Amino acid sequence: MESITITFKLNGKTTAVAVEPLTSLRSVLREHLHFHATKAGCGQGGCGSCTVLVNGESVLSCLMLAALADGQEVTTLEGIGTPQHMHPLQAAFFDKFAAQCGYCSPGMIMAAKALLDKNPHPTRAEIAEALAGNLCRCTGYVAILDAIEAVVTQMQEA
Amino acid sequence: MGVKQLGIVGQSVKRRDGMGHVTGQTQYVDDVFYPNMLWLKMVRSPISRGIIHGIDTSKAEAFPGVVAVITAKDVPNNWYTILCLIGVEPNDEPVLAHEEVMYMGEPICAIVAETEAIAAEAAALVKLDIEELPPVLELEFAIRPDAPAIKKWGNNTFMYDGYNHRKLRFGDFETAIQKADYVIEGTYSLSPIEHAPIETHCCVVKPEPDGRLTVHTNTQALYFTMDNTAIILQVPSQRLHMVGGTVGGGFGGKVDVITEPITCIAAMKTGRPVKWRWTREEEMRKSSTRAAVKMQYTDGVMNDGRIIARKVRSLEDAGAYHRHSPYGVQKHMANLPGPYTIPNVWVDAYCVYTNRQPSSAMRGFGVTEATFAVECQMERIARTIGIDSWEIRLINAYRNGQMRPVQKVVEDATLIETIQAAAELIGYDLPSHLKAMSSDDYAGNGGRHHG
Amino acid sequence: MSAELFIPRSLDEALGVLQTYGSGLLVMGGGTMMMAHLNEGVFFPKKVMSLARAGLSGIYRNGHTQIGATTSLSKVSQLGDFPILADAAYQIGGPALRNMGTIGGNLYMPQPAGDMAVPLLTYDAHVELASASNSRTIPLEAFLAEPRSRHGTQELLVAIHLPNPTGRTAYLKLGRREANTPSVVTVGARVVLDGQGQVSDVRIALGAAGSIAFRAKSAEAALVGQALNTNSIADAAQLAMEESDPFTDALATAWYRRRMVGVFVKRTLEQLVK
Repeated sequence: MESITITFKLNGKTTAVAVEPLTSLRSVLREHLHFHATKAGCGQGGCGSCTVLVNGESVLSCLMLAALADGQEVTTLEGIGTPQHMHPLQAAFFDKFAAQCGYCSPGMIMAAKALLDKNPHPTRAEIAEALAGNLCRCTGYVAILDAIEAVVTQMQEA
Repeated sequence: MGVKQLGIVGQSVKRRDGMGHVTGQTQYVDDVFYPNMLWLKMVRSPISRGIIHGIDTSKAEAFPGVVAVITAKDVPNNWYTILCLIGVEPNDEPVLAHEEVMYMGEPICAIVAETEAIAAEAAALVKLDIEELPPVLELEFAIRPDAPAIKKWGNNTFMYDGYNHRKLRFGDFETAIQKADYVIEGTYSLSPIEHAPIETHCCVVKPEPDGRLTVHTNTQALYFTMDNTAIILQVPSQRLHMVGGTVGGGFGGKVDVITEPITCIAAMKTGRPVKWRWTREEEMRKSSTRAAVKMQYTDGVMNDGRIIARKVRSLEDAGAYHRHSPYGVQKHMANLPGPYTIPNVWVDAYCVYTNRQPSSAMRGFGVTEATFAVECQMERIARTIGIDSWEIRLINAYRNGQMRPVQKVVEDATLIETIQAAAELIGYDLPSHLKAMSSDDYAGNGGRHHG
Repeated sequence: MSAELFIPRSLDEALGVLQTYGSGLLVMGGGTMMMAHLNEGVFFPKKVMSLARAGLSGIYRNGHTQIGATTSLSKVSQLGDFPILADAAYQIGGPALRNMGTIGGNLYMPQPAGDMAVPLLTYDAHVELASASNSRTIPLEAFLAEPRSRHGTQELLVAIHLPNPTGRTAYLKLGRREANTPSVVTVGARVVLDGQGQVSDVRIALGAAGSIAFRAKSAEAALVGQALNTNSIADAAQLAMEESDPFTDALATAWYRRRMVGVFVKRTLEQLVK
């Protein structure tokens, strides 16, 4: 089988991987590099659970050919914080009960990060629009909006 | 015991698994990988009903990277009757179809390969020779005597004690309805509802050197799954080391035992770890749903709002096989009269089989559907006879000490108090005679209610 | 079996790959449709070309506006001088999907997806197609009517051309949710009024109301020379319903879609009265 080699920065670290040409970025992250935070929810672009950042922009990693990540900077949930040093969004999702089953949480947090990196003071409506592509089936949207709003308030006060 | 002594009530307690969820450290089943792991894909029926004449797997078997092909003959006990544990019979659903297919998407044969992509491509090479039969897709049609019988026992319903429906009889409906001031009818229907968890079904099985199988599953019912898998595999349950507990959304949709047995067989046959995860389309179109239901009410109501007679005919669509539906219809039957005291009740509840994807458990299945119909019907009654929506419910609400149609005396009722509290919360001032009502005002202790 | 992936770095390189493999080549814009099919494991292309690096992204002004075929929906959603084009783009998916989806790729999406065609028809867009030996620019209407198999096997969609817009515009999308949903129906309208307040020129485009997005021409014709008022709008809405040939899918029945064409043509035109 012909494989291709892709080299990209994953959470700040240069990473090279040999994969089948049509492999998605999500598969490379999860199945080849074993960064499992990024989730596979639908593979159709409908749920947002595979959201990661490429050069700071949010993308759906299941719909992106891994080959197109070559030479780019990819950030996953693992890259923004750990249980010991949580990102403010992770801490707020934990504190405000914004994660129930947890399967949508990685995508939600990355979509929120993409928003806040561009617009640190969004309104609640702008937050909701930024999460339009992320589905939660445990019906946690209110808690999720509350968590992100709490981070916005913290940033304003800091 | 006072609330103060409860300690934790009133305090915010962090989720035990919350930090793992928000940092991506929680291990879900699809996050389990083993070296040398194989992948499984299912070949499914492309049609709703037909007779299987042939399953040609030769091209798939020859496809580079395919390690095993599993058909019905590889399944030690090829029956999946999840409620066999509580005595539901006869067996009707094969683990893998081999004689007939009963719904679009029914599993027929599994391809096990080195990668998921190879398994998918090889699965597309399996040639199915299926003679198509006209499917039974509609509830009313399914119970007509001239409908084709899709069940071997000769009709399209589950048989309850020899009847094609579950009966509930209480008082004398026929006499009471004659005395009613109003006869009010209503029909209420629900479409099937998919649970749509964000995490699709997934199972990983690793064969251990001691002959046991480590089964990673996102089932909601670990022991149910262990027992049913052991019955299908014909092995003692101690050979199954079930690892569960982390579910990326279930809502009742992950109570069926539909990934574990086949994944176990694949691991046993190949001696290697195997992963089977469903695509979104499989989750939406092949996994079970909440049942479609059609409920018809005929109520006898007096001028003062008392419901003196209620007859319900309900058809619940089990889809192609039992799964949890025979039990769901039982619960459904018991709840169709609603939380109201009605002295004369007649219910016929049908568990109907059609050539649709099986329906099964989903959050209060059987009950939620009945509640939807009952409360729509209560509104219809209120509007028809010109009585207030609060009053119609409060005067009919069941009271402690009353006999329910299922032959159980009401205890610890709080419906009246809940409605009163709800009125207060939204700032609605109930008239004094409704405020004065209580769950303990049943006749004998000063109540005005019929009994 | 392993596939071969081409990521050309220029249009010429892309056209060369296309000429070599022709109908055996699967062409991806942003990949949001094709990757979804690949993930579902239902088709197995052997030769795939992504246009993501072919230099076809960008918005240029030169007397008119030219939008490169692989310009992201996010970029299109910021086009202030084509407000309903921006609006239609913004109503597709969520931010991450819009960062990936392209305006050119969207024109290949089967109905009820492919919302971009509706505002583009409203603005009288033309599309530029290129092959290794030729290039041509044709009205979007003609492009949509051509069989899909033709494009991408002989020619690539290179750019979309828009004349400077005149008149007032409005666009409405009906979905089953507020956001991130395919369309039940979409309606775009552009109206130019003369000095007497009568319609001198009008475009009404419908999406998810037939096998392709199309202009409701009898509704348009009925409005010319009329003032926009309750009666003329009701007549146009009725004609648009009659011109529709909607379909049933998981989102909506044909019956419902047809009625919603009437409702949403009416609402769209009412927005232009203000």
